[in-house]
Amino acid sequence: MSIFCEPVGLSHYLVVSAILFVCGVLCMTTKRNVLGVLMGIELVLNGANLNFMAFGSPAICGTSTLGLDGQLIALFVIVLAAAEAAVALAIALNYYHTHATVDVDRGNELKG
Amino acid sequence: MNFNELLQDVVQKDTLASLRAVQPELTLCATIIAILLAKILIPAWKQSPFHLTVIGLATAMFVGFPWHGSAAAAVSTLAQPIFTASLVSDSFTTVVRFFLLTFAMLFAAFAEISTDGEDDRTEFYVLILGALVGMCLMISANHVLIVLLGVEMASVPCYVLAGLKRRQSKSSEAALKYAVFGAGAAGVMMFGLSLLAGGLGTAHLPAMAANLAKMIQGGISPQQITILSLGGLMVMVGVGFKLSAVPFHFWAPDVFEGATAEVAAFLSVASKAAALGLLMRLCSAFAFPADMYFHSPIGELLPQASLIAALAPVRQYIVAIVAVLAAVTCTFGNLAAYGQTNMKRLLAYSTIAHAGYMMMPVAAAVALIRVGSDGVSVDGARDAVASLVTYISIYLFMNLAAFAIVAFLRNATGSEEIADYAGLVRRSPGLTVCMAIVMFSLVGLPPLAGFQAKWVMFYSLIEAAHVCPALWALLSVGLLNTILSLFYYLRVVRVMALSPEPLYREAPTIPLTSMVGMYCGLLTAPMLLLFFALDRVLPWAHAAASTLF
Amino acid sequence: MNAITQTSPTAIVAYLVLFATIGILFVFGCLLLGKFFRPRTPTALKLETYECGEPSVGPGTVQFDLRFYVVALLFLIFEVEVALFFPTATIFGAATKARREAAQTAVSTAAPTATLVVDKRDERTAISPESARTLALVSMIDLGAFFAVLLVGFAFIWRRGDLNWVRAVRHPATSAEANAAALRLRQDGFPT
Repeated sequence: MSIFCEPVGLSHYLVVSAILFVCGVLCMTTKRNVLGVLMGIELVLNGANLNFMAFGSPAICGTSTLGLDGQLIALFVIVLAAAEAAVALAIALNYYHTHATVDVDRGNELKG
Repeated sequence: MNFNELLQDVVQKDTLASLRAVQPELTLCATIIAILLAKILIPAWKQSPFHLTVIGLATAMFVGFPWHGSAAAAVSTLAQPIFTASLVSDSFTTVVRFFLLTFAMLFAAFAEISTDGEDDRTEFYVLILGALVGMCLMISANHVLIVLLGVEMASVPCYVLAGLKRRQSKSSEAALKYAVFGAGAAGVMMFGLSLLAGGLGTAHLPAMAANLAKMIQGGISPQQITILSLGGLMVMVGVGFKLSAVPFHFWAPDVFEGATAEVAAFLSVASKAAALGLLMRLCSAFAFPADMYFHSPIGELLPQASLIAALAPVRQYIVAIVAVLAAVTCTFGNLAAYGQTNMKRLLAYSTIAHAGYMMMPVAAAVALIRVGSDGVSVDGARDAVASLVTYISIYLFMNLAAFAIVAFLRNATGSEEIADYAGLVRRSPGLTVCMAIVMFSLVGLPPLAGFQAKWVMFYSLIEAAHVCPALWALLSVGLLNTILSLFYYLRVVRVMALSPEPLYREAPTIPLTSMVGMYCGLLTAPMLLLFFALDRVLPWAHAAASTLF
Repeated sequence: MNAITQTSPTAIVAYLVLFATIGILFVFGCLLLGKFFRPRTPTALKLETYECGEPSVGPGTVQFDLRFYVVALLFLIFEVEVALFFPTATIFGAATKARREAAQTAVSTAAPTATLVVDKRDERTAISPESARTLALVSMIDLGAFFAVLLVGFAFIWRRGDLNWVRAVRHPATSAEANAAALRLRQDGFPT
């Protein structure tokens, strides 16, 4: 249990981001509602973002850091996530127009 | 170097040189903006922006073409890191980008012929061009940020393209599945890249490999190995999704069936070629970080040979993953294609199988990097990459032709079921012959270009198997699959040529002299020509390979 | 940072556990206390949803007009682009500030320099007024090009009619299925 007893460092950030990742993947695989799946994807992306921020911060991981690269990538990931979410939500809206549901399981016209 | 000099260097030298190197991409962007502006400023203009698109693509091809003499001269083009080494412009970029643009040109003509007078043409062309920009970024990526950006820029327009037929429930379902799976795969890939970049202390791909080599030389802890190999696997999830490699393939048949044949053609060729380019970039960066890429402020040079020698376990890891994925993808794609009754689904599984074939030379190339006492030998690896580029160039015509015929038959008969193609030979013999040529070429029978593609690919695989005996298994899987695939491609031809015409309808008449027929002829001709004139393509392919390793 | 490193790790965890426990106990303690003291006289009127004193109308989970949703999507895209403004804006601000500083120091000293990074006033990070000007100019051009492209997209959706509240029906529903779906859409709410 050493992780609870030491000052907050890189490993704590990694643990949190790993938890976010696992929650996101679970959410992606178990949710039937498209909006739920998209929330899972956002969680995974936030996990990645937390990683990039932690690895990019000299205060957290000392000299061998991503530096500004990490922070910039994090900014871009935010934008990419928003763009992807906007498109996915628009597609979900269109799906709702044609199917009157947003359950992924109901999408059985195409045999997966 | 102080800050002022650095700034002058970046603003004046790097940026200007970089802008010159990305002229084709800039042209594509300018075309997109021109199309949008034209639609904004001229509301009365209701036609499709086909002409603007073609002008833009032609300009991009013109400025992107390696004009300085022959392909042999292109060999001497050195890799040039651009935009502070976040992208790399070398002959691999140039050649593959030129293939992509050629495909886009043929594709635009196809889309214009087959979907004349439909809605949403503006959006269609803008999205196609946008995806192309993303694909160009993918094949020239040299930095984690560009990998992310390229993959997203290439994927997001494709999600919309899949759902462009908004009122069709199948189309919207395909788009939804594609978007959800795609976003998930991209998310996992981003997480993997964050682990890799963080674990290796830099986001610049060759510098990452150099740091990895240093870590291996200095002793790497098991935790680090776990994190890095996990990161590598997650990156493969993203790339595998774009490649539709098994087990990340499940979107492909559904999306191909739900989307229009035009969009399916774009996804199966352009998207796949770009994903292979990205895979090749990632593999080459991690297997063989060539020292000319080291212009990043982070990477300090190690002696080249020792650095590459240290990366041997990484190469084994890459070969193992790529080879297993290739074998599984190839076999699954071919087996699943048997039960299909819908032509687009059949072609989707055929695309999956071909993704498997095309991953084989990647594994071979990485396996063929040999570090001996007398230095590093990469000739075999270059041949393998050249075989991949050759395969892509031939695959481009084969698959576009197949989907074009499917689309034209859909316009004529309203059906995409194989059974409805019965007896086509009586009314449209020319089209049937075209389809037969395409199918035989997809199998890889001589005297068609598909045979040449498979031949160079298997040849490089044999070379690699001499170095890495486990690749004999991959080779036999590939050969077995080629025989397997014969039957289902042949079934399509049999239905078209031998089955009697159904009573309830007349087969459509599509003469070769019509616009549609001529287009099919134009696409089928290279399959015959390239068999005899492969030495026209090979120098380009070798030029593309020369800067990668 | 210092305070953390001076306290022993065990003490930190102990504090954390202590405060968390007190916090949780406080919440449940208050709820429990209320349960003992409040009178329990449930009537139909009392159990009704409180809606500012008005009689409540319908369930709380109604479906909003889907047109709000489209506007929200467009907003999402144009709002997040501010994130990409941020680094450029930071550079622009730092560069103009450095230039002003350099101009001020030019009055007092012979070599006009300033730094982008405030605490490191050394040779490598020193910036000349010309460089600061170039930096500001480049970031301005960068931002201008980026924003111009965005504006083209915005003008396109405006022209296309995606921002209109009352939208002309351009695509009449083609199949009976689409009609049925539209009917269902009007009848039941958005699934939650």
